[in-house]
Amino acid sequence: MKMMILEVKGLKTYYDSRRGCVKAVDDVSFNLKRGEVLGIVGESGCGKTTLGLSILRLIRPPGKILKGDVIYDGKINIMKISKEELRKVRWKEISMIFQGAMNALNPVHKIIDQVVEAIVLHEGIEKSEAVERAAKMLQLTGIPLDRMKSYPFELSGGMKQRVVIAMALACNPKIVIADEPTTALDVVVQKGIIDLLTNLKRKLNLSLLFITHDPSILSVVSDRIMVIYAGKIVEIGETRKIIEKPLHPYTQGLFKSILLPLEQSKELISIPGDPPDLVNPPSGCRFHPRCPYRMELCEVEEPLPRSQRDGIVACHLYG
Amino acid sequence: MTKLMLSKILENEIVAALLNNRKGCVGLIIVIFFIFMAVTADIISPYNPWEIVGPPYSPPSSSHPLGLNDIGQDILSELIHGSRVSLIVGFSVAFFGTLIGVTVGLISGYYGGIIDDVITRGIDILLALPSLPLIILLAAYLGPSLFNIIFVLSIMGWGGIARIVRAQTLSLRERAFVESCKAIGMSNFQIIFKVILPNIFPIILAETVLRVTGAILSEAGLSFLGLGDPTKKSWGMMLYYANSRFAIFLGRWEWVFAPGFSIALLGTAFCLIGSALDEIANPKIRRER
Repeated sequence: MKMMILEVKGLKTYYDSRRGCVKAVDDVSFNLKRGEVLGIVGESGCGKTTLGLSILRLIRPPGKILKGDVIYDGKINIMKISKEELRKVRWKEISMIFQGAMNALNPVHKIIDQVVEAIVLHEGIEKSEAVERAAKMLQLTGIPLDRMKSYPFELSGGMKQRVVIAMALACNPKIVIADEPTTALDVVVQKGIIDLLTNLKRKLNLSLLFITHDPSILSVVSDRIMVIYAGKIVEIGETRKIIEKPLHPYTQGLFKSILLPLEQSKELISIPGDPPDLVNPPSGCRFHPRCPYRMELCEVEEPLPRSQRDGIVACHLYG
Repeated sequence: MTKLMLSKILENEIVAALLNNRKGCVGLIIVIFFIFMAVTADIISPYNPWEIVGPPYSPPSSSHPLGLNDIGQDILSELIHGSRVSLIVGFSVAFFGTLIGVTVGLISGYYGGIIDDVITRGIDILLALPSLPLIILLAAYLGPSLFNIIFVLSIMGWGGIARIVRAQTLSLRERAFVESCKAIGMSNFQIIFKVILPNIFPIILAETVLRVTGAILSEAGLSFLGLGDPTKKSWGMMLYYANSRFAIFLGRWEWVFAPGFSIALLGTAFCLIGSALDEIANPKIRRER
């Protein structure tokens, strides 16, 4: 059994726009270990969601995956397989919890039917059996039995999120890509969803890609953290190490700008400047216009990702 | 048996909602009245509408409440039998027009791109053409028969609904749940008919019912111009004969009034149901009660 369940190599996804090419995911490489939770964090518009969608080849025009390999379980290259095979990989092997659970459910169908649909499409089993499994799944995610025939609009935001999670887990996938699963929920419900995801992960032996813009959540859920800035990976490392001593200046800025759980108090400092334009990203290191440690080299040469402290950092400071 | 069916119909959510809406309730009662008339025409009409039962142009009397026409047929019987044509044409044209319009609109809106461009231009042309002259021309060319009238009106009448469905589909296909259905592995066909179609069904229903009125009026217009099916009694045809046989000149206003009023009443009824459905489907235009 291989350690790595998912290997992403040199992935590039660009969007065509009238102003030019938006480099949303630009040469991204990383691995997901079996059974781990990899947190992906970054500002709005840095390419997190695009990365998640690219892994399942769900990018639609004007977006386009230009390059890269996504290798599942050491043998299946998702970028190269046929549409038919892709349909088998999606949901059965890798599934996704979509951003904005409020809208991810079809308003005119009962929730259980939507979960059943996902099962029937992939497992080729009898409907009655699928209904049973869907009910079990919904129960596992904390939907009471008497709510299963509800329509999405009859449920609260947190309940809907649970349904979306049940849908993602319906076909027993090995990997789940969770795109902002707790955004737009209040803190108490967030806690519930996070606990649910962590429990299910352990129970079902999942590997999780947890995409969020909120580093404080990652400090609780993830084993490793991957920080993305302007479509590029700036740092990957173990959660505790990244929190205690972030290496990349952007990561440092990110963790200075928030209060982590259990932290008593600290002065919060925001990162100056605005997120860069992904049509014309800054030369050299994309973070250099906002970086407090910038050197001349940073404006000219792009820092390559280097191994550092059993993680990866892309910064000239550690050259 | 009938009781069971009736309770089933009353339990239907759409029917229940209609009955709760004043407009819908009135419309439904009128339509049911006319449907009853059409179904039982042979039983309830006092005479065979084709039979000459008295001297031509007899004024209303106790045995012939609306009098007799120019060749001595009973006008009330004609009126009762005429409801059949109006209802058949109204329902079939609305059905087939909707079928074409919805299919075209869904395909156009969902696939986008060149397919959408071509279809949209086609719809534009269809809607820009003055339809009445074209319908008259086609009806005259194809010859007068009930089938041809239904065919012509269906062919000419799907543009509006296609455009509405296309617009709705365009907006729906960008919604997150459509995306997630795609990710789950549903085919385009499944997404179009199982995901998008149910979401726009209420709008389609309201639009279809409104189309019935249009079809009834068009049929009456064609028959009035003498392009209707001469083998079937219809309200338009009654107006045609009333007009060409000098009904008004002879003071036989009820000969004109009865079919005219029936057309207007049935048309209004479908309009009422349509706008009631619109209100039910779109709570924003629902009035506070």
